[in-house]
Amino acid sequence: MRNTLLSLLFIGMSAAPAQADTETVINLSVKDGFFTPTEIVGPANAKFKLVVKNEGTTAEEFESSELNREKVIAPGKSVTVFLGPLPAGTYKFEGEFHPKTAQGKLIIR
Amino acid sequence: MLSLLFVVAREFLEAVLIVSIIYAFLHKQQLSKQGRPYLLGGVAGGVLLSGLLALTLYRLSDWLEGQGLLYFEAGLFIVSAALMTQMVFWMRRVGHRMKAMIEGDLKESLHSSGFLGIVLVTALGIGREGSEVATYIYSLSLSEQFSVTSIATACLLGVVMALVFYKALTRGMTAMSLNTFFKVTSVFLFLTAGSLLLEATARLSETGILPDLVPVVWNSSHLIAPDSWVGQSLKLLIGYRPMPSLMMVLVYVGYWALIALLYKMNPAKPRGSVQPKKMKTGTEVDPVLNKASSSAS
Repeated sequence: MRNTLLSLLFIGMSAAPAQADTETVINLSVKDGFFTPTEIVGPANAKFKLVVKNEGTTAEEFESSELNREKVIAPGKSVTVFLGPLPAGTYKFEGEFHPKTAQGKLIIR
Repeated sequence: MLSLLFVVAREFLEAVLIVSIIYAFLHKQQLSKQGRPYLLGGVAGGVLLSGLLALTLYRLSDWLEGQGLLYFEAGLFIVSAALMTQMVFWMRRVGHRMKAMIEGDLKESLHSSGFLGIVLVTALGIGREGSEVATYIYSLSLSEQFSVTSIATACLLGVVMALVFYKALTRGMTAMSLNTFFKVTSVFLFLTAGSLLLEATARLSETGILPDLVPVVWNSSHLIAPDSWVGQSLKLLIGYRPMPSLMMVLVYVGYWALIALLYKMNPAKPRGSVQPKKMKTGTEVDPVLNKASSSAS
């Protein structure tokens, strides 16, 4: 019962932004300090969603000063990063809790 | 272990700076005795808030997925920035009116309004940064990577490092002249509030409610790389962004314009210099009125 209510609420909330479904979705995963893939490609001058899934056992913070985004991801969870419209270019991102190894690039073209 | 220590230390740096400023201020005004319970209350509240926020991230992240969390965070940042700004003006007012207040009846009103601000600014400062540390530590304790003892040791070391830093800072700040202290700390707090507003702007533009106007106004990544030592420090201190949107630039400039305006409206004059003829203009009013008008801003 409680689950049904929660999922109903969830459906209601995710349905709220009307334009969301037509956007491109790009998947990225991070596992204990490593992104896969390390290079992702997104569309220029369009809105899109980047879904970052944490498949590791430690928390990670998806951070990019160039994209102006910062998000903590608990292990086993995923977060949605709403991006764009962005001009073509290369944008670096990193895992702030593992900055030595967790490095990646978003190429917009 | 070492990386854990660095995360703890870095996340707490900003909170430690803010707590140090408040304590040094209270100490300078000989209010540390009255103020300490509020400051400690703020610290305790912040630790509690960290735990609650971290729990929210874990338990409700699917639920808040999408935009709910963005609005929540943006709200948190805006409230923090507003409180921090208000606190600077409060400190300034108290600083200049201290003598009168200690002698007069105003002491009571000083306690209630400003000290509540101290509790909130401290709690939100620690809560914001602390929730990230809490999430990180909690996930570490769930993974097999680190033993509970090594996590506890690292946390303890992190706290000790923060305390040492805090002691050094407060000592340095109490040694400053009152004037220098006000200048340095006001600028720091305004800068911090400004970069919180940038964070809020980024989140609101992510929800789509606030347009970017121009997504990338300039690109200074090649001049000062955001992941370099300099870039990181500048980000912490002045909210440096290598590729800001026009909206971020406008918010940042607008915030500083507002500060300039507030300074113009509340000129800090030593008590003796209030000239009777100035009363006509309405800009120089008695302390009580002045206090009320600036706490409304």
